[in-house]
Amino acid sequence: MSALLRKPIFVAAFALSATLLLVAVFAPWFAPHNPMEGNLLERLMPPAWEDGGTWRHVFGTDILGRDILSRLIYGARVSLAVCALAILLAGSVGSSLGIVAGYFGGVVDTIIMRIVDLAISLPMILLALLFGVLFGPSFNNIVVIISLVLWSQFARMARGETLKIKANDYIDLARSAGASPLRIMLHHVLPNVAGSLIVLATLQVGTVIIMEASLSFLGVGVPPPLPAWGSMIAEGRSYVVSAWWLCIFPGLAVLLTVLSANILGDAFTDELNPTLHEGRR
Amino acid sequence: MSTAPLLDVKDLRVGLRRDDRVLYAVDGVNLRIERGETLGLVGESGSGKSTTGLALMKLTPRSSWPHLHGQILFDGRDVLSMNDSQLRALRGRDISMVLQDPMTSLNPVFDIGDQIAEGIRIHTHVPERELPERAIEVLRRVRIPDPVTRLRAYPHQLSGGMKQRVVGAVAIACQPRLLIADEPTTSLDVTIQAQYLDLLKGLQRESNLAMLFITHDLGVVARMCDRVAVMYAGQIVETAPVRELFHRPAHWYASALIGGMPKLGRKIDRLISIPGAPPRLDSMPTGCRFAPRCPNVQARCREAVPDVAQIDSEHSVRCWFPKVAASGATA
Repeated sequence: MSALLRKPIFVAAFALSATLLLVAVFAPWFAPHNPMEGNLLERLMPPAWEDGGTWRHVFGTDILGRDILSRLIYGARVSLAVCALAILLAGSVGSSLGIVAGYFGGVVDTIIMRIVDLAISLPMILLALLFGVLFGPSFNNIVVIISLVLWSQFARMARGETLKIKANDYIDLARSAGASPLRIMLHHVLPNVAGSLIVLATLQVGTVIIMEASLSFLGVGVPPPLPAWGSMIAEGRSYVVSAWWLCIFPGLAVLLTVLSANILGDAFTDELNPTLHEGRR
Repeated sequence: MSTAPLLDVKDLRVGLRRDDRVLYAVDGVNLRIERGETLGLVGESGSGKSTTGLALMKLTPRSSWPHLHGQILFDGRDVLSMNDSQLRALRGRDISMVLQDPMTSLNPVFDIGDQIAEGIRIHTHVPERELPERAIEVLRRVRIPDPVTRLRAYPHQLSGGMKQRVVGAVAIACQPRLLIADEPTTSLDVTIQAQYLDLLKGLQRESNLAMLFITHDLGVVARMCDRVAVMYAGQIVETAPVRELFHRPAHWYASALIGGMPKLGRKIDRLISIPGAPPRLDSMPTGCRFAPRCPNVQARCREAVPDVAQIDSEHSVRCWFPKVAASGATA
């Protein structure tokens, strides 16, 4: 960890992510205005440094006169909540299935991994649109949709790592000591594959934020009036020529968040699993 | 019951699936281990000795279970017909194991106290707060210096020899009656080997522990075992008390193995080796399995598999023309 702190890019990414997390958690304290309430007299105001801008609305206002900065801050909340829940759900389901497949092998392995192949081959956007149309856009549904796409990655990684761990004598010895398969998977396999899975989870953060933004952009994500970065971009799309700030700021928010999440993910990968990227050093 | 051997294996066969065929890695093995006795199981790599060891606890892969034949009686109970929960109660409680490589025998994410406690936790109702105490006691039995602080050490903080002692501690934590030691000293250096062997001997004396000692090292056998079974290509070709085997080997393979051992104080130019290689599982000879490499091979050897012949009550051999005359009785 101390070696990481000497890399400026890591420090920057870490600071940005930490700030974002803080702002998202304590959104009501940071947001200058209510993100859902607009003042129609102040609609489409440009950012403060442009002509006609005011410091009351630093990043300007949208078509309904809502404060962009406040919506970004609350949007971070939505993005991060979706992210955390989806990764938790996909991670636990995917990892469990992967460990079971890897540990038992044979028919169990074949069945689970064919389902994984199926999940990977399904086009994500299509699946999401179908799901959105069938069940309507809601916060819970978007978490489920993203998890449906994500779990297969965890299953694959968990299976591969389990196969590797299984080759160790301590697994045989645990069996020879009378440990049940469940006990071996929980006590011997899981703690040893957890490192890789955590790294995978950090690498997925960026993907999930982009997915959530894409789905919200397409209208099957977080329903209005909850602010989400993707839907903010979608709403601002028709005004992008005259009011660029409607799209640019949420776009930048996505960009910076994903970038810093990926940098952190890479750094953790190198730190926790140096053998994975040996060629790079 | 007290006169019956602790372990009695009769005509054990272990079939492993390869593609669509079943190949017998262990093919008609008979073994007997008395209480507190050490039986050596000697053979080349691939002769089926490790598979035999695993089969004793029914630890061979589940896909091989339909192809497990014969009988394994542990203290009168038939291991091969036990269900999963009976097997789990047997494993670690009655029979436990030490494997070759101490580097991978311990789980790197738990401290050694946890790993010793695991077996106790599975098999007994010792309350959680007494577990550390029990673990320290076990560490003391395997002569780990300063067990109280070592209890919280992780495997990577210990040396190879120390790790193997911990593996031993894990194995004896529940006071088993039979320990299967599968080449436990192969990856240790020679001085540590000697210490470890002494340790095992000591543990055995303390608790009347029987051992199946699987190895390819005849020197270790001479030092550790009461009786020896020599395995070749899935079959046991000779069983004898250890002195008897070294002085009067009856099977030509055993004789060649012993003849191949370098002796202290005798000058030799080259180490003697047995010409040829053991047969592959998928192309076993029809007759005696050692016939293609045997210096004393005759026509009959290539035609029929020899039966096991008794040389005396403790010495048996699977050979048509043993080096030492058989008494004539066949098993």
